Amino acid sequence: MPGDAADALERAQVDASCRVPVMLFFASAVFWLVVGTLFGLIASYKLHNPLFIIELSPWLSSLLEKFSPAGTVELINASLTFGRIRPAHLNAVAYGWAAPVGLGVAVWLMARLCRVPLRFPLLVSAAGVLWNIGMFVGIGVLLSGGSTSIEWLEFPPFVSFILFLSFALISIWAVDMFVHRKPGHVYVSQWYIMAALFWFPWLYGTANMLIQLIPAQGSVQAIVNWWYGHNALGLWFTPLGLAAAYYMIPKVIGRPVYSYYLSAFGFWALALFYSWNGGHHLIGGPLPAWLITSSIVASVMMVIPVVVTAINHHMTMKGNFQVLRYSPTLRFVVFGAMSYTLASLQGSSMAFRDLNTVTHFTHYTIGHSHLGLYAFYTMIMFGCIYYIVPRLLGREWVSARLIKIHFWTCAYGIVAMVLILSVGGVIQG
Amino acid sequence: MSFYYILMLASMVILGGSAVYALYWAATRGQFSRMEQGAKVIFDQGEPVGKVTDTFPGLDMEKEQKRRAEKGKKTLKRKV
Amino acid sequence: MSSEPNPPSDAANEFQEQENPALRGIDYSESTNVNQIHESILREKVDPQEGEEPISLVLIGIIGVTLLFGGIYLGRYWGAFDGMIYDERARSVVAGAATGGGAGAAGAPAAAEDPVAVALKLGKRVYTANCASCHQGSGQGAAGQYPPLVASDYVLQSERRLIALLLHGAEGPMTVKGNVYNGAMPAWEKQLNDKQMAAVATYIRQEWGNNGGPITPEQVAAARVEFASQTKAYNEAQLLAIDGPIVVK
Repeated sequence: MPGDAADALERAQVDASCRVPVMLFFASAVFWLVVGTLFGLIASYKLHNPLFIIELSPWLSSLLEKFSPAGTVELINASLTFGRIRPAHLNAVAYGWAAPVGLGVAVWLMARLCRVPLRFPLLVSAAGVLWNIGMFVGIGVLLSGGSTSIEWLEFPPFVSFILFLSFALISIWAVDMFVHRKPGHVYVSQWYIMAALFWFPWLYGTANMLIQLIPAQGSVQAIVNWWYGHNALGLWFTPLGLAAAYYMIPKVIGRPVYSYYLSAFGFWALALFYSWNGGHHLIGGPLPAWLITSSIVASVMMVIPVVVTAINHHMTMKGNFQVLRYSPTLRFVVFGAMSYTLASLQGSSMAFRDLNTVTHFTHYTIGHSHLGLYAFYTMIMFGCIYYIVPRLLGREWVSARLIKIHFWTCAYGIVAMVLILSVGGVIQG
Repeated sequence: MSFYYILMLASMVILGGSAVYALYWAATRGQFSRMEQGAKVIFDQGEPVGKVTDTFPGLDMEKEQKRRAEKGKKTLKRKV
Repeated sequence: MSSEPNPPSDAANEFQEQENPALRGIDYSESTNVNQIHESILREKVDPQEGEEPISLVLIGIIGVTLLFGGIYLGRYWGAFDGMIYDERARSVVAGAATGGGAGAAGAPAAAEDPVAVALKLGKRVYTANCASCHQGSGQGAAGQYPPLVASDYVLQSERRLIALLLHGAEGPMTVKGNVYNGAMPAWEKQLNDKQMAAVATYIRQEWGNNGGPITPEQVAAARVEFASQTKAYNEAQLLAIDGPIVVK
């Protein structure tokens, strides 16, 4: 059918224009995922065995001492201490994996939904290279002790600037595609992506400005810190994850979103309520009561968009769960979408002062953050990668078995991790 | 100190204003009407409603469905 | 989605009963009475248009309950939107001021002020942040749990004893103003420096109608040295051993 072929051609053109930058983002993101996960493993081991690596391999140390400049062993040992490797882990997975993969998916989604090819993909690729330069420099600085000690903003200001610049270069072209889109309806995923691309520079810029350039005094800095930290999750990663889910689930099963109206409502509810949440990281802190209270109220209000999204995804999937058997993308994305509901509801519950006095500063919080960033965001991104890469490269994945192994090991791993951390955290509290 | 007030006011105006503008833009462009059609925007003739567009590599859906039917297992019956 | 014709409404049933009871409840398409058929069409609801499908009631319920809860929580714990009220349990602006609102003036420079007034301001802030959660903003404590500070002999009599108590805390049963309290008070020697401790001691000796004298940072510093050997919280006997038993007036 001619319409069939014309559509396929259009899709192929769009995909081809995105090929280099998106693959660059994905490849570097996967690299940072591996590196960051390794850091995370070392960090968690160091928590209960601080002499790990130093003590275990004296022969390695003596070997290194013989063949490398003096001070190398101390440097390595120092860089593996918890205080350095934990921020390295956080930044590597957040800015090295999560942000680039999200940007890659966002660029591709924008191109597909706007049905226009990406103009000047070379610039976007250059931005990707710039981002990675920033990452290498930043992680190097962190491992050698130059962290700013502000959670989520540990990179020194000049690295933040590099990342910011790179981000600007990428988002300009995403916006350009939007401006030149084929006329017609703007899909909810486009709303989420445009919003995320609009909010992130404001968040990152304001936070860096108020903490690094013109520092706010005292506890206000903590407020800005957690306003940024939480909104990076909720106004940057969450919209990208939701944009992907709202596209992938209907697209893979071939059925439009159950209630499109609800999805728009969910988007605006998220936009309205999310930004107030940041204070809930500071419950019990020396801050004005109204700030903490409004963050708790907002955290509860988030139940609204989360429930709306959950209803939408579930009703869209209803009657189609058998497709999970056949589609790797769907497995990952549905796992992620369900985790989103779970993580968000858990987060809303953690905001209550009574539960918070038990769980604050414990492993429960870590379990929750990994539920959100791994079980929700990362799983959805995995699903997107499995969908997008064959279309970019024109080649299928090599082994279905490996994909299945990947899925199940991830699923078991994250469930075990979250459960254990949660139980441990409650006991701690 | 006054710098922070300016920053705060500017942020509120820009962000709140952009949200209001976005809603206004969407409403005047008819984004909120014909919602069901909007939901179908992601499909086209090549990937129409009802077609599963992602499978494991090397998986031939038709053969798989036949194989399952022969074995008496449930085949893919979907609600569109 | 197309909707099927709705079942006949009650009004149509009533009409039908007047007409012919035997026709009650049957499908209108089987009726040959043109008036009846027209009635049913007129009473039929309009097909829902795209984009105007009603949201499920359950969802509206969830949203409503969430909003209601949010409002209630906000109303109870809003702290009057005052930047200086840190304790969310402040119930009104007045109570909020008592627990910490007044400390807002501490931001202003206290250049040529009397040192006691300065200490009182600092002491009030320290008290609100650290002590008010147990001893309450009114200094009344809680019956059976936290002893009051108002007109308390521990506060007003021996200064050395008061500072020692602040430094190392107390636990076990204590009699204050005729009532027994069996709780645990944390030690503050690490959390508060000399200036802060002197300020809060001064504050509690002069607030709520107490008329004790001020305590200086030097006294606190001396007491740190003097009582340095005390590693655990005091019990009542040890406290009374400092400067002799409480003299009940």
